[in-house]
Amino acid sequence: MMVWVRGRFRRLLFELDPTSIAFISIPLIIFLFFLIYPLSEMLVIAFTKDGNPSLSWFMDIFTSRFYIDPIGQGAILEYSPDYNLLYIQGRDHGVILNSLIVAASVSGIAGLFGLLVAFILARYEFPGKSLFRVLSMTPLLLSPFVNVFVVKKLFEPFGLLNWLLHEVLRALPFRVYFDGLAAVILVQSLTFYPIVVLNTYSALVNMDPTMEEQGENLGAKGLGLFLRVTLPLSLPGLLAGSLLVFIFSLEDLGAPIVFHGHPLARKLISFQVYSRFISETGVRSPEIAALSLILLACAIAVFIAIKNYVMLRPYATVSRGGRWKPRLRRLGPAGLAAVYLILPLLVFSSLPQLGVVALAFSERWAGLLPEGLTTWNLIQIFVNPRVSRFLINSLTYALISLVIIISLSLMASYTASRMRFRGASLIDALITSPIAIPGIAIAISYFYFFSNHFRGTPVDPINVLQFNPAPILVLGYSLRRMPFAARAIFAGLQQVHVNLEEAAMNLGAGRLRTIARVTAPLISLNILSGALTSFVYVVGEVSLSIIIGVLNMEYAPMTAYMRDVWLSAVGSLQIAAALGLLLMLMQLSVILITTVGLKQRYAFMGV
Amino acid sequence: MVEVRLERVTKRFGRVVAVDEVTLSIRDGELFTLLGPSGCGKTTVLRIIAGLELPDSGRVYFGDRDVTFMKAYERRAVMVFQNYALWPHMKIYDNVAFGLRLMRLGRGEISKRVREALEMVRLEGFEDRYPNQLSGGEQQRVALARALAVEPEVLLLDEPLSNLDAKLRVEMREELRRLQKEFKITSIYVTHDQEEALSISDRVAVMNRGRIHQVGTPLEVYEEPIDPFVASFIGRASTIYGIMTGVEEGLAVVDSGGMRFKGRLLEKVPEGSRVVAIFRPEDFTFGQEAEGLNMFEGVVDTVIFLGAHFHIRVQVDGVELLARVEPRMVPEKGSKIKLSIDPDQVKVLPTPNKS
Ligand SMILES: Nc1ncnc2c1ncn2[C@@H]1O[C@H](COP(=O)(O)OP(=O)(O)OP(=O)(O)O)[C@@H](O)[C@H]1O
Ligand SMILES: [Mg+2]
Repeated sequence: MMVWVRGRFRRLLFELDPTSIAFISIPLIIFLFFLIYPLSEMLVIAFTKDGNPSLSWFMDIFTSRFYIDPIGQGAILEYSPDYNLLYIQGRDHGVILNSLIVAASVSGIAGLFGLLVAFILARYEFPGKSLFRVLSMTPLLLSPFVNVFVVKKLFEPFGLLNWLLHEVLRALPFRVYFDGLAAVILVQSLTFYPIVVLNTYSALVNMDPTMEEQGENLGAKGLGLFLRVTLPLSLPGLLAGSLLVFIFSLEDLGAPIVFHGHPLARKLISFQVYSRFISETGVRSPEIAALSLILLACAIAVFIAIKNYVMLRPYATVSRGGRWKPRLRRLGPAGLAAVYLILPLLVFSSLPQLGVVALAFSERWAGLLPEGLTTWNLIQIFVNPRVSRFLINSLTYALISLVIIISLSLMASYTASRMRFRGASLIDALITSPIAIPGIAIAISYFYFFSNHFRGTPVDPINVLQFNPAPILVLGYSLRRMPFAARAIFAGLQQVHVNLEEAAMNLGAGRLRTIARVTAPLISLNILSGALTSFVYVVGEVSLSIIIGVLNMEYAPMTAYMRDVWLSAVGSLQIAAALGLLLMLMQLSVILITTVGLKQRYAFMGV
Repeated sequence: MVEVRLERVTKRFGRVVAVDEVTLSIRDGELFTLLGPSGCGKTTVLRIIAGLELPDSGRVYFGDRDVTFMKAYERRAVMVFQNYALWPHMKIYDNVAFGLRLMRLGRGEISKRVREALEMVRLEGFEDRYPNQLSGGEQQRVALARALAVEPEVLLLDEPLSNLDAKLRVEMREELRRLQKEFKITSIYVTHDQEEALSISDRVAVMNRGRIHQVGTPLEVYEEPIDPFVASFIGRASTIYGIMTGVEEGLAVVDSGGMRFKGRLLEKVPEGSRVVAIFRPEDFTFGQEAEGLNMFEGVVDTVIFLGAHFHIRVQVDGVELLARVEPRMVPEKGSKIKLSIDPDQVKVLPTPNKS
């Protein structure tokens, strides 16, 4: 027995050295301490009342019709003959069920539409395909809040779409008005469906074409072939995409905040957590912890339920082994007609981004379209210190987060791909886990964590007058956006033959030197693209920014300014749009640099 | 400059036993070759010696030092990788200088030794190129220079010449042999080319499926293979299974179906045991009828042109014999032929236990 233990120990020592110990322990400690621990602590808070273990917060929630109302109230649609208006708002089933219904509908709609678009892109060749492709990716350009606002304007009873469909084309006999839950579903579906497209597309093009050919050989054709062969094989991608959409929908604050004028849009878990949190001061009610926990539990439950089919990745996988010649076919007239019928839908789903651009260059948006061409808004971002401050804060946080993101993901990915002991891949799983954890849950758990353990310090969020959110934001941003860089770096490491590193060690270089001189230079492009991508997503981050960041506006990031336009009626809509435009431009340049300049994949994700 | 010993070293990858209870002793300054078919575990043995792989059991010694658990970068056992493993982002100069810089040598010393190493492999003037601007053979030689430059205690060569053309390969292996003797570097050379193994090694170990079958000088493994695997892997051989029916004048009498012949017993076996006889193609003579020779008569089945000579396959009583023929006496395919072999050249071994 002793001999065996000693043997195991020496084997372990053989793998370990100061560098590898640091590479394993630093990410592990940071994630345990700043992700797992705060979330667990929030769990404890939610299950405690007056210092004793208690289910009462949850009992209150689950017994209240405000939260759960299986019967439901109100009508999904209402027709008002006076105004010749079809009013679509959705039924109220209580906060929790509403959130689940919305998330399920959004992932269902996004799943179906995304599958359709991905299938067309992956299997057919037709004139205008590149336009089709670009349009289908446009909604991924980040412009928090403003994009939702654009949809809201477009769908107003006397907005552009009603004018077009009802007055000009006369395709609709009445005007349509989306609001409440229906509006949230609409906006989120429009914004998130490309995530399904990406994941499904990569599953489709990475599929061995002989599989489909085999199916054809056995007599399957058309829809039969699609249902029996193609769909099952692309299911992991489709499910992964839909799962991400489900989680993003659950944690989304953008749509509920912009539509919060309608009471139903406020009856969502995310908005409830948020508005409760903002309206209270000092020590927040444990009910907020309980609600955040429910949000987290929903996300994790769905994740676990379909985890067997899904490898959750922030972006499409690079195909293993040889690339096959994809099965691309020309479309017949009927097919072409179908594709060109979908095209307007894609244009439509890109309207929010176009609208943001238009709004950024306009003075007002009162009628059908933004009016009054101006560059004043854009100039304000840079010259008006009350706006530029937010931009500078955001960029600073993003730069600091970047350093943390790159170092930690390098360490963790290296451990996962190079170290030979059980549990090495656990570290990889740990640093990619934030993708399945709602940002709201992280933000709320940080509030409790820092106010409990750092009482009276500048990072104590209750200590309002001296509070500096910067360290918390940087930390939270880093953890939330780690998966992007980690995936890019991991992919890079897999392409570097281990022999190259072994040759260096073999010549006497220790692990750190080997990594510095051989590994890191060889994956520098992956590191760079991971860094640029996470930078953009840090700047566009919403949940932490508007939960923790706004506690001291002096240090708030730019998404906090963008939120204020809707919640506090401070600031200008057009300037928010200009900030959105800036963010989209940053993202576009990063996409161009990584895909064209660095020949890397760009990792997409929602807000 | 050091003796290398492996004691009962075993390494498994999942179910595959890549190295199976290998015990080897490589003498100080010796050029030792591991010879065996693809996938038999040669590279794994080298990686264990280099410290890139930890054996599941067994020990590795450099001299008296137990280095089993010593890390790769603490050993001075330098490997030339089968796939070269040149760093694509470094120029040839920096590739070769890498190990020297780690030794904290002066700048002048480094550039002198890089130049010398590149000269040894005949790549003077390639310093400023990147590996992808070199041919496969040139890259292989850079890998060799990179290892030689640091004057290692143990040099591990994993098929270092496999990508060179025939002529350069012969030149390089002679050069390698010369350098190895000059610097007295204990070297372990991996190849599956038996000609290469026989021509440069002090000693050869023949491996198959993770096991060492025989260790000996090239002549020993050629002349006295201890089992059919070694016999057929070193040089060409026909192996014929049969029963030893007796001993006459010190020679074993073997019965194999319709065939009866005599041969030299390499290992004592009781009468009636199953044996295997090994015939080398070059030991056959034709048309010769003398007392004491084994005589066979058969039909030529195949004629194989090998450049300087031919091989023919002859069917004798349902058994196939491979024989070497000079170009001017190549028989017709399908013709009848008589061939004979001196019983002293026929090696008779007990049949190995099937494992
Ligand atoms: N890292 C590994 N994981 C799993 N199996 C391995 C690994 N390395 C080697 N093997 C297996 O171990 C066996 C021995 O491999 P090894 O590379 O030592 O063979 P080799 O004699 O060098 O072959 P070759 O002449 O083709 O280079 C093979 O069956 C191989 O598939
Ligand atoms: Mg090998």
